[in-house]
Amino acid sequence: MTPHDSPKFNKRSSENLFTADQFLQPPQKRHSIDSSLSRSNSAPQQSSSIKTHALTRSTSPIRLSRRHPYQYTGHNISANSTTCHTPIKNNSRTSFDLPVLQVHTKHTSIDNGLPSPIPSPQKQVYQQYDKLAVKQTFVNNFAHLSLLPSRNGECHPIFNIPEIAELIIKNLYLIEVQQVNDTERVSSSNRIVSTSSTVSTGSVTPVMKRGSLHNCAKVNKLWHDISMKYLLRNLSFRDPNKLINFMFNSNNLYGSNKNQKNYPRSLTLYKLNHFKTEDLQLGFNSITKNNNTNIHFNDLQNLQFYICPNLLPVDSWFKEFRNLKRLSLPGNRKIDDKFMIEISLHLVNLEQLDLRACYNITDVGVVSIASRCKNLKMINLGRHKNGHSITDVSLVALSKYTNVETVGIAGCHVTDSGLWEFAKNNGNNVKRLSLNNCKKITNMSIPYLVSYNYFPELVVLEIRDLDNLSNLKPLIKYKLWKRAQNKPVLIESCNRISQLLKFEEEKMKKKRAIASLREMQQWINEDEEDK
Amino acid sequence: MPGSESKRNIVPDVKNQVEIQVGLVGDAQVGKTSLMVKYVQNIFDEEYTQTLGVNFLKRKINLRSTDIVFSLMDLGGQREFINMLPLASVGSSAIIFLFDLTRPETLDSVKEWYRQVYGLNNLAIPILVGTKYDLFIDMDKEYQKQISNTVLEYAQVMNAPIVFSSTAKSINIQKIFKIALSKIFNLTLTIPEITRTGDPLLIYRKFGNQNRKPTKVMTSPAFSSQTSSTSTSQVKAKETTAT
Repeated sequence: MTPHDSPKFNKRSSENLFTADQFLQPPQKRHSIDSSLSRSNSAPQQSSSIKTHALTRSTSPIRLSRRHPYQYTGHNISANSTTCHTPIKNNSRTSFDLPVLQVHTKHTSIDNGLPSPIPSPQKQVYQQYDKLAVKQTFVNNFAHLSLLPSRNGECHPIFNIPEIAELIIKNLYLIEVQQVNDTERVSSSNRIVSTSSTVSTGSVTPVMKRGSLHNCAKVNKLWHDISMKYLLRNLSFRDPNKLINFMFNSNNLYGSNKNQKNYPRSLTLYKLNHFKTEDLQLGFNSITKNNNTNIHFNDLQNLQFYICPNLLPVDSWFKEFRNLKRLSLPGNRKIDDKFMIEISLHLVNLEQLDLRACYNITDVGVVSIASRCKNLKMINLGRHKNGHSITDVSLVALSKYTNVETVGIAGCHVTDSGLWEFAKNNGNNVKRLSLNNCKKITNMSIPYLVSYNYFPELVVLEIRDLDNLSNLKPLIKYKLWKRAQNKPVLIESCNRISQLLKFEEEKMKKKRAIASLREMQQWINEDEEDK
Repeated sequence: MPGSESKRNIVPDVKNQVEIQVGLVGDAQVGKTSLMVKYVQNIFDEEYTQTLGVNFLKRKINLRSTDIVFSLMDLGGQREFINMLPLASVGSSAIIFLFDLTRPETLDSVKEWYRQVYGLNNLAIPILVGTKYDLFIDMDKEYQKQISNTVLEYAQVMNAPIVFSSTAKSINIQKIFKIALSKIFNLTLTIPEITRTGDPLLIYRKFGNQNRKPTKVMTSPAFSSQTSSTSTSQVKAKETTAT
């Protein structure tokens, strides 16, 4: 080794030495982007330490894109170190897995080779600190970069790199989408609360105010163009005037980049009570018929009319919306079976259908949907009125033609035999089942279905206000059994049923405790020979 | 189970899971690890291996509707591991104090062990176990008598059942844990006591009985069907102990 090389070697070796402290505390030195620029020349020579480098480097909140000129070359760790702080489901593992693993093996040796079925406290401590460390280091490394113009009137040059700006905005967009989904999951969907929901594990999710993307659009031209691309993915309207403005001025409003085509993914209209279907039709025709437009609805995946009682989606749309996966029209009074039959012809990819409180829909509409939308995963037909128009026919059709996982038939006139048929055909797929207020359900179905485990994947069962249900012992047995299997099931019930459930549970626990004690007493008095 | 319609089985009853943590403390080389390994794996190894920190083994006993899981925490006897004493004592329902019957000084330090453990967990049931009984019987009769008397005094102070055991010759190993279980749940144990000096003593009736009010069986964490750590699992049962 020449003396010329030695400082580099020292540096390298010091970074190779992984200690737990390194992850518990932010690095002592703050690396600015500028310093990384100056060092990028020597990067190929340092390829032996690439792993450690990449790991310490990749703590940025803005994940540097692959093949970016300013990033270290010669390593490929970025492929699996993308998005460590954003709640993208696929990449929820952080790039910190590797060193954490080392920490574990180093510190669990106190067991001295004996098997240790319970995690030692040390393990958990390190995992917790790891999460904190991610947040700490990225904040410390990049907090001093500012988008605001500095003394010379320019913002930091890094923010003018299109790829970096794109990544920042994309991450903001993804966070926003996630937050919208989270709030929706809690607030709507007929109070079906997920217990097995895909909580993004291992990633730090910053709490963000809504509308951050709009602010991004105001920064400069580059940021505006990129933000618009993401803003136009999810269209949401609460104000009728804004909707009109959007529909009739679409090519002027967003015409800053004519070449860029926008494919909105989701369209939401929220409580537009007085908006007329004709206006909607007219407006959207002006977008779709216009050759200059850069907005195309071919790729729409999510169409939502949330409590727009008098607004009917234009049926000619659905010819175009081949990719529509989710259609929610809760509280729609206009929609009827004829409409459902018509749209079912086109929506071959539909996965989620929310028709809560759509009182004009009957078995006819549901059967047409069930027979044609084979990918249907979620359907909600919950209602307070016209329960008689949804019967076993719908339920059996759904079970025969689809593999539906979430079924809401609250307040429908479904009977025990329908439920049996449903369970026989499709029970293996059902994860959530809402039978609230189904007055015809009695002791002859649910207790037996669960005790023979007809719904092996069940996570949530709602049985509020089932006046004819009184045999709850099987339900408790089922609940305890599922819990022992580590697949807990949530049973949502009304006051009367909750009390009965609680009473049964106590009785059962007491009985089992006494049986256990008796067995133990018998065991201790057995004359077991010392072998 | 999912699958063919004809073969659907009814959901089985969930077994009760009773998890009992037992700590083993005592001076170095008295045979804590040996006892634990013997009880769990039925192996006895003459060779001495020093325990570094805490060893941990589980033994599961399957009864018809109940699984009893003994989690044994074995603490290294050297003084430097005293800071790990909480691992062995906190959360334990019973603590076994071991001493070497052939070395009186190990019995002497039981006092100190007891004091330390009591400071951390005063609810656990102490059990006083003299080890290496197979070597003890070959010793001087007078010495045996003296030791037995001292042990009795200790047991009275500690309110701890006495067991003389031998890991090598498999004497009274299973009974230690049966006594522990009977004291924890206040079950009636009918194994005959052995009280004659020179025999492997087994005295448990008058020691280690709980005088607290019976708590409800239901509320005890030991009876949750989940395997969870049982912190204070001294439970009174309906069956009362013979006193």
